[in-house]
Amino acid sequence: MTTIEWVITFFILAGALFMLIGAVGIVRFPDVFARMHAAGMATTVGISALLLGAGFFFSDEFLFYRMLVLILLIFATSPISTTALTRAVYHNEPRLRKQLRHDEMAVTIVEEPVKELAGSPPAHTPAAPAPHVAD
Amino acid sequence: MNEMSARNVFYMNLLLAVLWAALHADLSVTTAIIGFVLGFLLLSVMHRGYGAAVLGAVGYIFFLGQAIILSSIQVARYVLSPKLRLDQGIVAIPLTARTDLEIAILASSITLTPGTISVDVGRDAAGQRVLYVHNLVMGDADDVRKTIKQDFERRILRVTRGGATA
Repeated sequence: MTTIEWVITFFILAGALFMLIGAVGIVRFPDVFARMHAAGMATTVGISALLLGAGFFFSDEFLFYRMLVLILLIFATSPISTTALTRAVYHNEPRLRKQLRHDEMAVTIVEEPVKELAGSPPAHTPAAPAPHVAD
Repeated sequence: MNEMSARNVFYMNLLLAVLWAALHADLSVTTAIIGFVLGFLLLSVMHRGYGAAVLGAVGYIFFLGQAIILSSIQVARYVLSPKLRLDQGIVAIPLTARTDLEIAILASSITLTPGTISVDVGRDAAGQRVLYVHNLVMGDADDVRKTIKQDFERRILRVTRGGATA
């Protein structure tokens, strides 16, 4: 194999490996927070390695730059969804956030009355809007 | 020239790159990049602080790539270790970064690095702006604060403020 073929093989295999590890992590990790780390790693590291491999494979200048732009776009957008999902989980799953060993964000939580169990008659007062004190 | 902001000089650099590429018969991205580098050399001589800012931005991209690769190998090791030893926690990081751009770049960089996710921006009891960061394997909270402030925030501020705050 020529050098460029080794480079292509390396990037494609590394990308596939990180996607696989991300998938294994989603299955093995115990809760949403930890799974978010595995999923975020798969979408950024895995996909950008695959795209780089594809860019080298087609040995076309414009295609290679297009791959770089794609990586840039993924890097600009993927953290936003990860952050939004994690924050939604944090504010809506008290059970999960109480499992954290150390939580300096707890000061932002305004304690809500205990939610009714499933199957019980609807609560007398409508649920308060989710507390959110970000500025 | 020195009264122009570094951002305006950057736009001028882009304009020079487009001009350089347009003057060539075969239009290609590589030509535009060469034009950008030549324009950068010229402008960094003429404008104080512009050269350092652009070099700092390029250095930050390489630093971020290296941090992403190293910590994704670390997270892969956590995933594949026979017994999961996670130690999750959320740390509040007091921000020196002020503008929306600085905070957005910092929060995105932290989320891009596997093992850390920025969850929210808020204020602590003293009114200081803080960034809440979730860690997969946390260790000591003060170590996390120190690493993020020195590795990420210091480098970003060096670019956006032209080295005013070291």
